Amino acid sequence: MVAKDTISSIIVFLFSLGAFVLARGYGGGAELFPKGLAIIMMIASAAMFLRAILWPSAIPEGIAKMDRSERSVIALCVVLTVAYVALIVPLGFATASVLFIVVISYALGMRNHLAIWLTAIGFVGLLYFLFVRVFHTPLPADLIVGLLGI
Amino acid sequence: MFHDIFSALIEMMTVGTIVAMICGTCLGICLGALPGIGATLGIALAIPFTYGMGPLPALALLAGIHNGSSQGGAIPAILLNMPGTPGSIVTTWDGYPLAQQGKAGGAINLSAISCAVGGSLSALSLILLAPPLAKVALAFGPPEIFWVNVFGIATVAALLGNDLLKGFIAACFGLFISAIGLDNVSGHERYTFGMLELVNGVATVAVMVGMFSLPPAWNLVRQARMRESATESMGRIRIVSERIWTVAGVWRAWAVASFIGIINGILPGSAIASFIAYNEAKRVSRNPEKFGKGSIEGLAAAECVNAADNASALIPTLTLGVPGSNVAALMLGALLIQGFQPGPQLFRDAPEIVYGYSWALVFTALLLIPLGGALASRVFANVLRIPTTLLLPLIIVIASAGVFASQNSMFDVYVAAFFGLVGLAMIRFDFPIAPVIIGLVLGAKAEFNLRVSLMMSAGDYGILIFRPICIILIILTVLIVAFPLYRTYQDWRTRKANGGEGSIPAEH
Repeated sequence: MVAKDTISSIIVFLFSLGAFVLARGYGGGAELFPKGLAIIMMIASAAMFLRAILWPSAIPEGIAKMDRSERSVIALCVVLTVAYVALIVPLGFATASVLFIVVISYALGMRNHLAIWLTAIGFVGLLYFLFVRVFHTPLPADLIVGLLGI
Repeated sequence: MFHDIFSALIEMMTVGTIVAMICGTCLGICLGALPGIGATLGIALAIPFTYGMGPLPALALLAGIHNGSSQGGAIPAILLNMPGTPGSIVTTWDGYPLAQQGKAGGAINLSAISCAVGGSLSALSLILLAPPLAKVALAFGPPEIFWVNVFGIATVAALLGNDLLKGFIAACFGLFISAIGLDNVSGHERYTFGMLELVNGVATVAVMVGMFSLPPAWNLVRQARMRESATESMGRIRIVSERIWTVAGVWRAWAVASFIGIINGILPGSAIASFIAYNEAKRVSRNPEKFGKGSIEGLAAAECVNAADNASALIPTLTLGVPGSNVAALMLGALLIQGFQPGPQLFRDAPEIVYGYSWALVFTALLLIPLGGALASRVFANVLRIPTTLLLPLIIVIASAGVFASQNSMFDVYVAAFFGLVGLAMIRFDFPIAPVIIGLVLGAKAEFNLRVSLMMSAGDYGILIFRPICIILIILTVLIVAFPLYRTYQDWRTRKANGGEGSIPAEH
């Protein structure tokens, strides 16, 4: 708890300091609000740091600590999500989404091939239909959907 | 006022709005039934879909999700002893024993009717209490509106978490995000780093969806094993819809729970409302010894209070533009997306929207009787069988599609992913997320009113302090901030007396 608060207070302080320095360059009153916020955040983060160092028993209890396996599985999900978002433009929404659902399901240990592929294709197809045909809202152009001429 | 209320009722009676209410309620029940999802994530995912809809069907859909998810949380609580939403923790105390006695169907049915009673009374309180408050708020000038916003932000920062400092830092972070882009008074660019996409600011929907849907989706894998082993026991529970209650047996519990729920909805920090209502229902009950062992009144109180704070929590949102909860902040965002500025002027400029939305909350609460009762126990309970490993990517895909479609911008998807990571880091470091969103949605308004106030007074800060309503709002803000400080001090003393034990658990 102490380590968490010490680290986060330093990050918040540095962030606020950076925001304060940048705000000094704005004129016409535009600097007033961000500068005020930065000062409040610096004071709050300094108070948090001092509390962690001098009065650790006053820190309210936080969420339970994750074990190593939980941390690694969440890290895997985050990495796959970032990869998915990065692949939407080159592959298109439908292809990237189907790939993402399939890959993450296998990566998390699911082995029901039929359920995985049916859900991936059916769900993405339904979503594509809803956006493009019902709401008339385009989704990022797709490689496979383009080839199929849908 | 009454003319507007009845005109709105007539405007609600269109096929599109009725279909939206039914779909929203069904969707809400399914989302509420999935532990770890609930109303906040459901509404965050649904908001981008409402872009292409008219305002009333859009608000009707969101009202359905809101009320539906309150009742949906009871399904896993009763069947698996696993609360679907934080408010359903109390439901497990009597719901699960009833399921073990072979009364699961009857318990789900009672939970639906209790939610319908609490939800509709709460919506009626919104219709009756909001207009007079809005009338008072119409007299507010820029300094008062600035303090109302500060009060709203302080309330959420102080009461929606268990650490005042972290709540304030989170709120300030939200205010910072709102400051990104072109300053609407001087025209200066702020924190854009030369990126054209940031000139108009950060898309509120992208931040909301990123922070409210991605971290809970990633965290779903943590509860995967627990949920899947619990779901295996579902096959052994017989779900027979039989009536296990009478109005004479539960009306006291409904009355107490509705009253507590409505009051707690208006004031933020309603996570404890279900506990208070349960204890009060036990106190007024003729059979208090049955509580915790399958009490009909206990279940009725727990479920009634869950829905009773839904609509009343929107009273400060709609009248003052100050949201007091996650869902209220999202609804404020949804109204902004539809082109409406929540606040007292909304009652004057677009009464059909305010009252139409209030009616949608009444009707979707009543829809819980057919949809949340027999149908939920037979059909919607099966959503619990969806493996978490499949649910997680589906949430992320919906979130990405929704964020992209809101402005046809891939940049918004990157922003959502970035804020998803920020949200995850905040949760790991025990920072609450709700104040960020509330700071974000109120930031521009607070800053604008601060700047206009200072222009009115030629730079004299006295205008913000020496006006009667400002003084009242400043005192209220100080009290709101002082309360958790006092609570922290008391908790520290208790822990010290117990040798380091007895702290408050975190709420996110």
